[in-house]
Amino acid sequence: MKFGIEFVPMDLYWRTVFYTIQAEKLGYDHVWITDHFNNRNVYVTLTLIANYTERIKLGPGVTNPYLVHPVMTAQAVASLNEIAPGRVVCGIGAGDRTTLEMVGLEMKTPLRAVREAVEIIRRMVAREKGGYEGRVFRMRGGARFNFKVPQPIPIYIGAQGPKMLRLAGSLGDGVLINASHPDDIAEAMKHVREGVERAGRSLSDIDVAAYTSLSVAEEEKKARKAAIPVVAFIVAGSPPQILERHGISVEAAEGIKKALAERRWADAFGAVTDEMIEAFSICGTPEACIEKIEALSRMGVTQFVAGSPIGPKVRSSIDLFGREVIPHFKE
Amino acid sequence: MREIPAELRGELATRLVDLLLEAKEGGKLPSSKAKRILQLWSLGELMESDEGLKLLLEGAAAVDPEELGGILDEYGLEKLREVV
Repeated sequence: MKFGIEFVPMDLYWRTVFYTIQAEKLGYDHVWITDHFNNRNVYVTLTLIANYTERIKLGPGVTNPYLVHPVMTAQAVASLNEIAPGRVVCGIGAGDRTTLEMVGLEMKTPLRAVREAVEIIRRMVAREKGGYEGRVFRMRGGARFNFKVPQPIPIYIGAQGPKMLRLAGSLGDGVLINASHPDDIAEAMKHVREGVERAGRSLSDIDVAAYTSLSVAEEEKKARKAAIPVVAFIVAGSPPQILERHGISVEAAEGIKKALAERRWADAFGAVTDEMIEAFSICGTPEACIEKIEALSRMGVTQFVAGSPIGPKVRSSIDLFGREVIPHFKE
Repeated sequence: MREIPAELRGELATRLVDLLLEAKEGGKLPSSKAKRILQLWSLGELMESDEGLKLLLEGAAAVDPEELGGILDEYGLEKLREVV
């Protein structure tokens, strides 16, 4: 099992880099930086991380083909690879519809857009000469880098729905499954396997990452308290079929969504139940986290990504997870 | 730096790091100091060296002098408080 960690560059750049250096020292394998226009720039953050680290793999987790044209994503990861040779990965997904709409972008044909973006990034990194005629993206022959990229850059597809999961299985070097609960991961794995089989590949050809919401602390109660705000946002954004799978009423989720939209934080967070925390996060003491991660591992997950909030105090939780959870799987 | 007893250094450095990471006014840390802190941290020299501890003290003074004062008082480092 590999271990990744996700940061949202809402915080000052040096703090994100500080935490990443800490994670690298503790044996984390990957760092994923989210890409949203309203946070600090993902590639500026990754460049700094590349500059101050030696081993950890790094990449956007995830970018999307609507806000950033795939040739620019290819350029960014290829340039980053010059600073961190062989350590760069690229996570790409369809993006978040609400965020895209804020800047007037429509999420048209997401499967097609992601498929074509992956193909273009691979062609650009390989410096292929021929043009590309997709339905979403087109490139004339000769549109290629003026510099060489010494090695391919693994592309991970961020996915939640069945079709995107199948696409990830058939096309990705890895898949980033946006879920924490074993039932959601089990459901996702069915679709990833279908994609893998359709493409004549084997599941061992791809890195299957569970992109989770983690909250770890010495005390269960503190871990739960830290998980609540993140879980509130996940519940508010979850489709009805996922809520129903966990016995959460659509009405309760709508109530949280409305409270969040109206910035009534106490109402929103106060409505988060233990069942919601259980469904949408890996939360608890190191021992409890080990048990939950073992369940994911048995399902075929090969990378556990520790996503927000990580814990009540980020530095202490990165440390606790690195000292007490990671060694259990590595030794 | 000589004022700080050797047995206190590790614990004090950790408190200062947490202060910097959690301060609301973390943006007041000058970019040049942030970069040097990251460099020393990546080299494993932030918490142990005189330079690292000095940078952490200066950084803490820039982002939350009140909290820093409280920490130094707690460790009986009043003289250092005056200097910082």
